[in-house]
Amino acid sequence: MAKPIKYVFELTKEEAQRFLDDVLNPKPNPARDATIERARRLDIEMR
Amino acid sequence: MTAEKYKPEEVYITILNGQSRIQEFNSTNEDLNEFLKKDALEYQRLHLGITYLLCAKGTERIISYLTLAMGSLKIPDRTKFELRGRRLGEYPKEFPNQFPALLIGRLATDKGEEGKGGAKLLLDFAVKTALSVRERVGCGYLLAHAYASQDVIGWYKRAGFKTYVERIEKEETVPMYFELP
Repeated sequence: MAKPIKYVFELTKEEAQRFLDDVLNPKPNPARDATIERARRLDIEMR
Repeated sequence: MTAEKYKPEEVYITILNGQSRIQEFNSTNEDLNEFLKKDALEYQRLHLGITYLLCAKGTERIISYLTLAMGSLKIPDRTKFELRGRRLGEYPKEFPNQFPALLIGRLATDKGEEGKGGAKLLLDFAVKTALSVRERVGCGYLLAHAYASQDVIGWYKRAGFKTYVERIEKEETVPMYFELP
């Protein structure tokens, strides 16, 4: 058996504070925006 | 020399089944190989994860695979956080302490197919799936466990993932997340 999938990401208090700060005050993320645009245009055959 | 990238019209995606040619798949990571060959079908049967295979048209060879499931991002000890400069006295009225997400449980590429964009196509497919899922269920993020090497973490970061984890040296994988717009 391979290692099991971890379904829950548990952040430490410090990591979570940074995450919450970002959720409430999101900064521009051009790399993410480019991926989303590419994903929306993605056209691959499903079999 | 840079390998030529696969174009979407040269490949197809199919869901893993009992006839899939998984025994030929060989990535550089034994755990990822073992998951596909020994566990992925059972995960699927138990509704713990769906595995998608990216295959080359013509040869039908598996280039990369992706396992998707639902997951969550959990923040601890919620009463001690601050939001907008004040302590969260009314937490969790204002915020839950878990954030639902689509989870990339596994993402791997065959050794002979590295550098040809297969994993990137499957990542785009995961993002597209997440955008679709969140129209019907609560899902604000795409999560991934990146193997703790600067190459892998850098690959996810270039796609727009973030991590706030500082324990990269100690952990085998690093949780990374991608905020859906």
